[in-house]
Amino acid sequence: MEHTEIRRKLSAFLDDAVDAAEKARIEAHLAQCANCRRALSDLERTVGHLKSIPEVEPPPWLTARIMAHVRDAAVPKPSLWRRFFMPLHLKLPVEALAIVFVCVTGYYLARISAPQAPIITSLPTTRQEAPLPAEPARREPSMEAPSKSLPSAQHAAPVLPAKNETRPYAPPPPPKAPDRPPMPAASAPAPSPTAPEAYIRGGGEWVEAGREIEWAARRYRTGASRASSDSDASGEPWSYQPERETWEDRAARKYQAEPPAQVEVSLRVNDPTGAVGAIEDAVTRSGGRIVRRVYGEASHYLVVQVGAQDIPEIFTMLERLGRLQKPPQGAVPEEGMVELAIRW
Amino acid sequence: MSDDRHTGIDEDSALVASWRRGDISSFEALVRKHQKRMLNIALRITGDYEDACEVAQDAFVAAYKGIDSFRGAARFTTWLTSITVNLSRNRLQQVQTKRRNEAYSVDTPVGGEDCAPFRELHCPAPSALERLERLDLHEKLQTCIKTLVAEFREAIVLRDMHDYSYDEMCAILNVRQGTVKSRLFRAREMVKDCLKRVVGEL
Repeated sequence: MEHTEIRRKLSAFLDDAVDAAEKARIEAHLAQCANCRRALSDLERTVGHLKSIPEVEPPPWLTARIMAHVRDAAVPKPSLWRRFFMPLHLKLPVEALAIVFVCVTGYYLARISAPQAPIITSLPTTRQEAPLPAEPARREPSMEAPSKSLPSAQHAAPVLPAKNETRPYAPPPPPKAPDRPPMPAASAPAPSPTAPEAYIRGGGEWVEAGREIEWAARRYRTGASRASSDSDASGEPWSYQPERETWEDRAARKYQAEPPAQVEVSLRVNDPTGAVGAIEDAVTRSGGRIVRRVYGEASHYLVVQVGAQDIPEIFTMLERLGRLQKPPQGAVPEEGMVELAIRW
Repeated sequence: MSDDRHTGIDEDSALVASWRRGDISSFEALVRKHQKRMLNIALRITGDYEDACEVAQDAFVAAYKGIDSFRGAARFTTWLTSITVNLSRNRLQQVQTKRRNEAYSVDTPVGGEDCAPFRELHCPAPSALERLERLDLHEKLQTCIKTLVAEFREAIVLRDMHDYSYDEMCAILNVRQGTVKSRLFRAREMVKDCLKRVVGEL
């Protein structure tokens, strides 16, 4: 054996980790080689020094710290699912409350951002009563000689005030004859005390306006007497009778003299329910004022008051939404106020 | 060192079985019994007492969490030592990498004490020898061990300091016996040469 090979095995020889034959050969070589014996001796002393290194003591807190970590690890951590949804007795009420809050907020937002006119399904005869008293309240200085276009401008003011100021609208159409009793001058309905304010407030207050319209219609149907109005008129906004009475008489006569032009169209759309918003938006953008909505499950019905000159624009916008069946030529007047009924 | 490693009987088996059944006090007894050895193994490999304490702690926690992977084929101490050695090796590599990054960092002033940034590259022997002369033999031995790479350190620590058998070293280091012998031979030769340079006569 070469010295290098012997010295390579001295480490294992020292640990008695060589087989017997190899051990015999190494011992034979060491008996003859002083350098290899010296190398073995140095190796033994080195190992001896290494074994003599004292052990250090662990810190006294080591056991406690280890056991603290182990006890933390022993507590099972909840899974991701449990961390999100447990404990149920806490999270379910919170989540339910959140859902209720979202629903209420969404309903409120939908209400305040809805179109201007209310959905009136059971009030076919009262839709035009409320605007009438609005005129004297707003136009008192010019009551003596109201122009023909003024009332319609006031009607449209809550919808599109800027646009309608310059639009020569015809007066709003009078009510249909079969729907309501005749409007005698002497028994004209008492004006609603709050209806003018409701219309002055603008389109955003349509809910309150609708309620007041209904109130005015009820009074109109029951034939509220002028005397009763006079008896409690002291200090009330509607106690200024002579001017209002004169205007109402005139308006009644005018309405009776000029029946509204009624036009009905049908629209075929793919999604009738989904098209409600688009159709309402189209008619209001074109200057129309929604006076009645009847939205059923299968079909929908929308009545709009609009100037005759805006009818083509409405038809154009409705044709974008679906297949529009227009009325025959000549059915649509060229001027005045038109009550346009849209079915889809 | 307990002699059970050489008798083939694992005297920790009863405690381990009790611990498996949920008796945490049995595990605490194992901690008290083996923490000193695990701490010293970690200390000789990492070369730092605080690091060794953290390694020993992490080793026991890892053993507690991974008791299901201990099937009893080896003795509990062998399994626990393998965890400690692996964690010590990881810690040593982290420290060495950190030192290396600090040494080459542009923020570190060049040419500081013991020409630190270039200690291992340009002037390792003189500065190391100068320091070693001021230390006693054990400290010099520890410093010599620190000059070894991790594999050689592990072999020296397990065999010459803690008297593990070659078979146990094979199981702990997950290498063959020839590799263990080779690493041990080279590690001892390097320590011997280091001591001769430092002390003169062994």
